[in-house]
This record gives sequence, C-alpha cells and structure tokens, in this order.
Amino acid sequence: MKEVDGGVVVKVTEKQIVLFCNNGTFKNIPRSKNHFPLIGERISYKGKTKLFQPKGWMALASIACLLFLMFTMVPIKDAEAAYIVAFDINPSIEVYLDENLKGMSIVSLNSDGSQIVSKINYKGKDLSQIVNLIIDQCVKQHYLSSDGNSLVATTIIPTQDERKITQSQLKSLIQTSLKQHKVTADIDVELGSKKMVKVAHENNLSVNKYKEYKDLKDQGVDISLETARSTPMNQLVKKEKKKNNQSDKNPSNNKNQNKNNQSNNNQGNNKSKDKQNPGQAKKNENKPNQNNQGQNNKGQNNSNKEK
Amino acid sequence: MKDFQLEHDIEQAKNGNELVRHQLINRYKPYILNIVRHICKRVVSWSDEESSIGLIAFNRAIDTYESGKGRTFINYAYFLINRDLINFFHQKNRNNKILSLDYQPEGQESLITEIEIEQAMRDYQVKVESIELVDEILELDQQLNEYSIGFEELEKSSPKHRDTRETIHHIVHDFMEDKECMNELFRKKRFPTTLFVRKTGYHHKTFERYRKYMITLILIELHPEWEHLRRFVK
Repeated sequence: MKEVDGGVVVKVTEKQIVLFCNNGTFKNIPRSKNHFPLIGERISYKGKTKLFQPKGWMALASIACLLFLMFTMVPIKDAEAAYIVAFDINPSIEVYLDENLKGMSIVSLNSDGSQIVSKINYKGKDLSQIVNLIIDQCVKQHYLSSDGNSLVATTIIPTQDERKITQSQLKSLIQTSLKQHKVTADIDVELGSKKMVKVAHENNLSVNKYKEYKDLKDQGVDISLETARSTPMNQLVKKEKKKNNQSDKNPSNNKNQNKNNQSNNNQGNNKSKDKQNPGQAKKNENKPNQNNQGQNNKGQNNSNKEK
Repeated sequence: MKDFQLEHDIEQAKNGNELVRHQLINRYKPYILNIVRHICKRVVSWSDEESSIGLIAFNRAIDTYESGKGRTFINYAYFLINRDLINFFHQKNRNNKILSLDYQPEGQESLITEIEIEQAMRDYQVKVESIELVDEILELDQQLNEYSIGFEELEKSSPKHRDTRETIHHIVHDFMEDKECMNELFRKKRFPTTLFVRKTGYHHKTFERYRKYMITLILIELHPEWEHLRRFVK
C-alpha cells in the first residue's frame, strides 16, 4: 500500500540518489548496490504509506502514552506484594510489602501523604522501620502530637495465605514508635481484603476511610463519598463516636441494640480507638469477654476490628 | 547554459583557451563521474583509473565536437566516455593487467561511425528525461556549490506539506523583490536571515529550516532559461 512518487535524478552519491520531485521538493532515496542512474534520469520510488504519516504516528504514540500512564498510575506492585498496610493519620499512605515484610513500594493517596512519602526511603527496610519512618515524618510535619487528638488508623491486607504480621503485632509496632517520639494517638488496626482495597480505590478513598465511610453509612449517617474524601480520618471517627453516643442515649432508636444496652456502652468505649495509653490498652486486653461482646454488637459491620 | 554559449566556449577551448577548457571540465566533472559510475555500475572516485579515462574522453569530446551535426555536446561526451570505457574493459580483460593513465584506445577515431553516434544518442535520450534538463541540473549544482549547498542537503530543508511549500514560495517572492536582501545574498553567498526578518517580520525559525531550499528556489527563479527545472517548482 505504498504510494509511488517520482522525480528526476540530480545527484548520485555513494549511498543515495537525490531526486528533484514533481512537487518541487528534494528527496534522498537509498541506492541499491549496482544502481547508478544518470543525472536527468526519471526515477519512481515508493513513498511512505498514509498509515505511517505523522498523524498516524501521533495517534499511535498517544495510545502508547495512555497505556503507559494507565500502567504507571495504578500501583501494579499491589499484584506482587504479599501485604499491603494502609495508614491514615491524615496523610493516607499504602505500604506494599513482600513476604518477608520488606518494603516494595509506598504509595501516597493524598497530598499530605505525598509530603510524607517523598521523605521516606523504604528500600531494604522492614515494616517496623517503615512504621517508624512514617511516624517520624508525621511528627516532624505536625500530623501527630502529644495532645492525644490524633489517630493512627491502619489496615493490614494480606494477599497470601501465610500471615507473618498480626494486627496486635502491628499495633505494638506503632505504639512503640509513638512512645519513642513522645506523642500520643489513638491506634486502630484492622484487617482488610484485596477486594476492599479494590473497592476503596474505585471510590477514590483510602481503605481506612472507605471502611469508616461504610460504618457511618450502615449507622444511617448521611455522608457522601466526597465528604469522606475531604474529611480527615480522626474527624470521621469522631462522627462515628458521636453517632454511637446518640444511639446509647436513645436505645429505642435501634431495636437491635435494645437487647444489648450493656454491651453498647462498652462498644462506645471500644469503638473509640485505642488510646496510646498503656494502662487503658492493658485494661482492654484484660477484658476479653467485654471486647468480644463489643465486637459482637458491632459485628454486623466489622467483625475483623481489633480493639 | 544556452547552446550558443556552450558552443562558443567549446570553440574557444578548441582554439587553445585553456582557461575556458578548464572551466568546461570543472563544470561537467560531476556529470563525467556520474556517467563513469553508471557505465561501471560501481562507486568510482577521482583516484580510479576509470574516472581518468572518463576525463580524457570528455577532453577529447571538446576537441572533436562539431555543432553543425544536430547532436548535443552532452550526448556526444556521453558517447565518447561510454565507448572509451568499454574499450578499456575489453583491453583489460585481454591483457589482464592494469593500464596506465595515458591509455588511448586503439584506432578510436576510425571506429566511430555516424550510425554508432546516432544509436548512442537515442539510447541516452531514452534514459534521461531531456538533455537540456541535464545541463540545467549541472548548472544549478555549480551555482549551489558557491553557496556551499549540496543537492543531498536539500531534502532536510524541503517543506513537506503543500501549505508550507506555498508559504515558502510567497516568502521567496517577497525576498526577490527586496534589492538589499538580494544584494546581500549575492555578496555574502548566504541567506541574510536577520536583515530579512527585521524587514518583513517573518519568523526566524522558518528561515533556519528552509534556508537552503529557499536559496535553490531563488537561483531557479533567477534563471528563466532553465525551463525544465522551473516546471518542478511551479
């Protein structure tokens, strides 16, 4: 499908034949080994096809760029990672770990997250070191302080059957790091699934925020995805606490909760995330039955939450 | 070069004007090499024996060309170069040895017949579009050399799109109407981009890219006698 153009030979060099073409332009065409045309001889040559003209190339290049962007924008490491740990402090960060809990990549999900991620060198570091680096940066950038109003919401998403990190271990890591940095914050460690990550990403939310959004929705709170996206994590949790407190005060509003008023009171406390107060944490740990009760009450929404 | 001018120069050279002979040879050098390569069907440089035979044959064409016989000089020169090279190959094969530069084909003049010349002219005319066009190309090549432009460089500076070509033609037209710019071009043998941009407001980049092509167009426009070449740019 090549177009045939023509021209008159004006020069023959060792490698090419120069043609003066019918359209008034000059064209250099490669010379075959024994072909030495005379100056003034008319020659036809096969020009480029329409398909490969600049416009065609531009379209192909655009498609290639789009595909490239699609593959680079989506965190493809997700597929290879053995664990994903999602942090929401207000910076939303996802840490992708291999089966040995070594950092593979870190993805920020909001602008605050980008500020943190840009300062972290995760390569060759394990989860405890990465947690420490994240806390360190959050303290430096004043996302965490000693006023106790902060929240470190995390979700572990194992992508394989083997579990090398449990919720309590991660919680302990965060607690230790917070202590070292002399800051206090509520800690919430939950367990998630790949499906949850997918749905959260589809809704342009972090995993933790998506779970909180779902909880609020389930409790009848009128909240949009946009609001959930723009509201800091600790504010979302406060909303949930407030709703729970309202439910406690008006148990008749929730028929299902009537039978478990006692438990609801406990849940109110438990649902409020674990304070970075060793005493209280210990107290909670010492009350397994109470915890279980609390979980059962909340259970419909989130059976995997560890308090 | 018009026929009468060429014939005048040949006459001068025949009568012993070595400068004119030298100019004629210089002008037709690319053509001689082109014919030699065409006949040998391989890359031949000026240091090769075949190109020397071509030069000698061309020199002899100046001495033996007769204008009154209805043949063109270019065609006649082609015929002699072709013939001498064929004789050279035959002799080389026979002797299987390299010949010296002062080689002369044996009995060359007696072997030339009018029928042979007529046949060679017809063959040549079939190959090339027109003998006048060849002459015009050689003249254009010579003039472009004064501006340090080779034909092979012109592809890069040729406008690819019709719109651009039309724009370039307009610019060339404007340029040729400006005497100062034209004088500057002839004097410095390069395109006076800054001066022309200042006068017209055209974009500087246009000239950088199409400068060599525009000089070629100007040279063609300046030679209304190059009828065959002018057909390509209209």
